[in-house]
Amino acid sequence: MNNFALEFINISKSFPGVQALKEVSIQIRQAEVHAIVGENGAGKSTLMKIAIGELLRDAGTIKVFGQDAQISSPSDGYRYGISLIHQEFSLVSNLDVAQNIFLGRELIKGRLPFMDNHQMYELTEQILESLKMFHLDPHLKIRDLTVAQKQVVEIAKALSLNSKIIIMDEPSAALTLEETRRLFEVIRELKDKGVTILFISHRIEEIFEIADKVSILRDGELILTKPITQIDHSQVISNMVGRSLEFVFPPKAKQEKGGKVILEVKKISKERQFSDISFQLKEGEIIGLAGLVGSGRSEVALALFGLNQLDSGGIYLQGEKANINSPFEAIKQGLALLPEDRRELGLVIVRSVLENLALPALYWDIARKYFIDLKRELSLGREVQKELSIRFASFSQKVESLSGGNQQKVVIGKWLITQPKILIMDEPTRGIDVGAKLEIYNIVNTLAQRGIGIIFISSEFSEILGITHRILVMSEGRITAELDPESSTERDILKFATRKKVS
Amino acid sequence: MINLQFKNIVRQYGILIGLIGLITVFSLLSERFFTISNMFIVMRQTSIVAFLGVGMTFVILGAGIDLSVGSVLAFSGAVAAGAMQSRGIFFGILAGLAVGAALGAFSGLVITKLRIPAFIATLAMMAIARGGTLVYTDGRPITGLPSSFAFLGRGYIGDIPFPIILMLAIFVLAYIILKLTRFGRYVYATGGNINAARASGIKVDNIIISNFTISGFFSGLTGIVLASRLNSAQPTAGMGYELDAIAAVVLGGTNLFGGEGELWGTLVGAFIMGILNNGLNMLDVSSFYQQVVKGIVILIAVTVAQSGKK
Repeated sequence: MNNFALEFINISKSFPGVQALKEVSIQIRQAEVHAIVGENGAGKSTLMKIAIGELLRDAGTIKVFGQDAQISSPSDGYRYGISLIHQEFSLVSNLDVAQNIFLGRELIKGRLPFMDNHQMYELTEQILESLKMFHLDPHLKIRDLTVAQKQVVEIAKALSLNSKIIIMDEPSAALTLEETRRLFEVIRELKDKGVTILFISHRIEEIFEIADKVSILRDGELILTKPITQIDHSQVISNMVGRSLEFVFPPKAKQEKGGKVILEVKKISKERQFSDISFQLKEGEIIGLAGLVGSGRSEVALALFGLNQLDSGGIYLQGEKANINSPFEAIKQGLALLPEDRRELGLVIVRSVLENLALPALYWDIARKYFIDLKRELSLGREVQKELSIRFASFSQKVESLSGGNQQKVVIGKWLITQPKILIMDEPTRGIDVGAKLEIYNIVNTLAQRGIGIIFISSEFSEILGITHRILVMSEGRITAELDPESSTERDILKFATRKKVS
Repeated sequence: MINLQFKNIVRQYGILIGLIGLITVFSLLSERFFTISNMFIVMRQTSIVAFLGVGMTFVILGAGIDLSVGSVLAFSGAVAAGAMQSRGIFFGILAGLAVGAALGAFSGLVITKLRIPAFIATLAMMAIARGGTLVYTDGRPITGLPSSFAFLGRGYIGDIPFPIILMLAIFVLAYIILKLTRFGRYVYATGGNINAARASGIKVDNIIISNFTISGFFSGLTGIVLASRLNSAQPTAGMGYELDAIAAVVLGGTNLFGGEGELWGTLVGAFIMGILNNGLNMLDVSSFYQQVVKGIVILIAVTVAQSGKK
């Protein structure tokens, strides 16, 4: 008898039009931290949902501790001792920690239908105690907890269900560095107790820190499973994307020497978000703003675009102080923002491609005198469609039905029509496949060549190194370093991105 | 793709098919139904819901709701009638329209500046305007209106009742605003995704205030036309009309969450409401049962529309 806690054997799953998983086989030993990595759409989440029973597999076998497991619904998953901790938590925010842990299976006092609160809080206390790292009061309401604390509640809930296998779907995505560190200590604790952990992550550095083994998925196929000691960082990436790293980045846009400064940011601050941010941006320059999630990069971007009011400091455009207190004002001054969350801030997804493309330019160009110049609208739409090679069936198609990459191009297109001087791109390649990423890099280069100054925000450091002229690294709301991409490595960026405030 | 297009057709034009079906059924059941004179009667009844429906379409496309139209209608009608007695028809009409628009603008301001949900803000306005009407009229109808005022509600141009012509003119105008102007685009964008609209440089508060002002204006117009038709301003005028107006918009396929919908759908929706009233009357269905039938028809229509969506 082997000691595998969980085995996937030839698991296949298809959705209409997509083969999400092709005969994937992975074996996970007990008390192992096993990382599953892959690009968006590689099939990681599908595989995990099959393990827990949220999705039904088309073919293949799942074995739990050597036994064939019949898992066809989440309650089956629990029965076999498997818990999945989602990116979005399934906690009820107006209930407290203990109430959430026992939600739906409250303990009852004797025969009467009254809850045994004493016992529930007691047990919760015990479980939380066993996760030594965190001191959490079982009476705290979920809505008062930090993201990391909520994660701990989810873990405690899994433990209270006696889960032997815990699957975590990008647990660190919303955590600060410090919180991630504590989460990892909890994971190590669990491992010592014999709990098996499946860990999905996008952050490759993390995997090397916490995992024992790594499995790489690409396009629904298992590429390899290896002990973490037998693989290095760039091998992981090249196996994820299916080509070597160098190929991904096109040659950088040439930057004119002594270009004009078009944007100067002087000591801008916003309480609890960022402080003392200063930098200059020249014509045709691509500045990288690197940092981890929560470092304040996006908040700076929103502030430059008038969506986040500054407490102090000033923004100067072409040498003059600009008072940008709304996107309207920002657009008037020649700024454009490709937001981090394009469905929330970038697109009106229920409206057509053409309407979305034309939207910011209506006031300035396409509909200056109240009535829309439909001919001009269409010809501008055709221009950017061609320039960015946006693929869609018709201009009247809803943006909703486009792929992530094409949606992103629509957002770029709508700003190009306004002929901006400064383009802020916040995580422009997130959730986009490799081919579309390459196209976006090429677009960025072309725009810079045309003299547009670009602020390129990303938490993928390889991308920042590969595309920008100059890198500003942010950590905890401050700029901690200015680096030259030609002479820096991802490790250098990471070092400054994790630097603590010196107080 | 073809299947998708078919579903789109069902979704977009299903309500039109429903209207034709309804006309066919009533025509078969009553020979007095499908005559020119009766159709004019239907259309004149429809015009009241249609006026309100136009304003409501702007509001709902902008992801709002206006529960106050019935009350604002009554208040505007009363003010118009009162002003008319002392200062003439023209002034009365202007006063009525202005009061309607002002009350709508007030709701819009409350919603955008005080950040109170439209449902609550207009629910409050519904009570305020109804109460205001009762105060203003002392609970009694205002009668003794100038005789030429009757033209608005009961007049004809050629053989066609004036309210029908007014209704068609308003639809053409509103269609042009929604489809061909910048403001119309902004209404759709704001309702579709207010944050993305704001980040595209649209002053979304102004759009929302405008929508409610438009709705108030059309409520005022409806109040005036109704006063003309009844030759008096009734303090209880327009009770429950907000539901008919919302029903017309929703029957017409406009998404209650905003951003999607067409004006012609509202016109068809208003017709369905009007035809149901008229046809059921002709069949001597008791007015108690009529309510039940109307409710069921709305449920069926919306269910069919939703199934077309998936």
